[in-house]
Amino acid sequence: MRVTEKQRVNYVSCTPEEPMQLAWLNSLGGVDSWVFQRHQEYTLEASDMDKFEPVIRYLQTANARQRVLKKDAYMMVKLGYEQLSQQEVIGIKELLISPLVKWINGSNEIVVTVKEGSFQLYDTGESKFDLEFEIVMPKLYTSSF
Amino acid sequence: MSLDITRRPQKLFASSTKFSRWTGIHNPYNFEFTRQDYGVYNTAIRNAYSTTLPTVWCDGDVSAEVFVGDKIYVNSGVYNGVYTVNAVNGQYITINTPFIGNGGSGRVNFVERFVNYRAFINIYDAVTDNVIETVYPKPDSTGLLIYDVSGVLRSLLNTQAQANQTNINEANENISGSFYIGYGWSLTFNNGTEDIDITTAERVDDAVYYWLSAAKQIDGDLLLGMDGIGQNFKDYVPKNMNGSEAKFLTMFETPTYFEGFPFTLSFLYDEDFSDVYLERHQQDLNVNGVDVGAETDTNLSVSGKGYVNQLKVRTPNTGSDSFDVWLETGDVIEDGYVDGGYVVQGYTNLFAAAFTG
Repeated sequence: MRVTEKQRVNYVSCTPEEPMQLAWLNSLGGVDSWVFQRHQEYTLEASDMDKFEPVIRYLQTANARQRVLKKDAYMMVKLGYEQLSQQEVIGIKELLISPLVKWINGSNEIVVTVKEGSFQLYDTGESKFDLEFEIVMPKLYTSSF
Repeated sequence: MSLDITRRPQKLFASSTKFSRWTGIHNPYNFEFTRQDYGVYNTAIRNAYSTTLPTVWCDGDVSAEVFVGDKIYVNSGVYNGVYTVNAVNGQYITINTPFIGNGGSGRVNFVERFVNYRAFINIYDAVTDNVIETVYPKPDSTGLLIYDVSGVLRSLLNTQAQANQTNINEANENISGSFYIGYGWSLTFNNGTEDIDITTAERVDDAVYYWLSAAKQIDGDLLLGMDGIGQNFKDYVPKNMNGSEAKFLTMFETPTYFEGFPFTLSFLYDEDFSDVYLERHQQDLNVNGVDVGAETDTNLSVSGKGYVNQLKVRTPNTGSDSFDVWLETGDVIEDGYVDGGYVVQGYTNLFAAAFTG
């Protein structure tokens, strides 16, 4: 006796170029996933976390007015997909509000976040959409003083 | 005197006696209790006690517990509020308010005489029977107590990412689970000369409830009122009965399986499948949506029961454009489920018989 609805699943046999699979916890408590295309190489975003000003007694022996104590650094990558249907966009948009997004890389799973404000949706006509967004990889460990 | 559960976080399936007891913990997960010191049969003019004031007929003798001049809460049809007691005679309380008609059945609470009233609710893990939390909420002035357990259950969420899935179905214990509750109350009774502390024994409710890290949205379906599904996950709960059409826990109308990448569908493995296996059925389809190849079925592991499960699918055959997945009931579970590390009942007796024989 059947106890669930019949869930139709599309089957894509050709792998997208530069694939990157994300899986996320959706708001129904289930896990959804999609294989995106990587749209650019990894980029590094760094910022100063803390600075100090050393005491300077004689200018002739000084070599810095301000020093950095620690840096914040993240690797980011831009992902996207083209020619998506409306229902696919609705499903993918859930990752923007998901508390748990994972990059599935073979047998490795890495928790990532979607960069705030990076999600772009383009209407290409005929009810098809392209989308692009950036994900932030785990924060890098950096050396500090 | 009693404290009763008067509304439970559950929804009944049509034409059955089966309930959905799954609720997302990012919405309110409410149990509604009602304090009732005494039940009320009705309220009317009773000439033996007053020819002008209404008299409440209680379901017990209240003369030792309420006195003239006390404030009491009455819920009896048109009489709903706090009133001053004019006279007490056995099961009858005359209240100092104009008669505005007869009142029906209800309850009466002695809010001035029974003070410091507070409930206690124990929330138990249904798998380990350990107490997750004990809370001490107070009913409002009408005796109504709505307690939201979602805050307590959210403390059980585990942010750890689930490891790679190897079995056909696996429970996600980080984001789902089950519980039951026990409850009671305590108060201080002032009889006019001394304060007497009273605490009741715990009543353990036998229903098991299920939680998952999920939230439903407001759908504006106001016409159904409290008959609507609300935050309950009834639409997603499979049941062992004809007509069960549970949905999978996906936000995609049609999810996509990319060849060579892991793919799962999530579903709720309900308690209703304790005696029967669940099977995953799968049918490949061509570009026109027509069946190709044979339908396949595979038994699921019963160890995931009571949790959100992730279901792996079979890789479709070459040339398929899509496929359908659904769950069906399978074989009856013959000897009950035996987990790893356990032995079947009677095993030790068999061994002893063989040894001595």
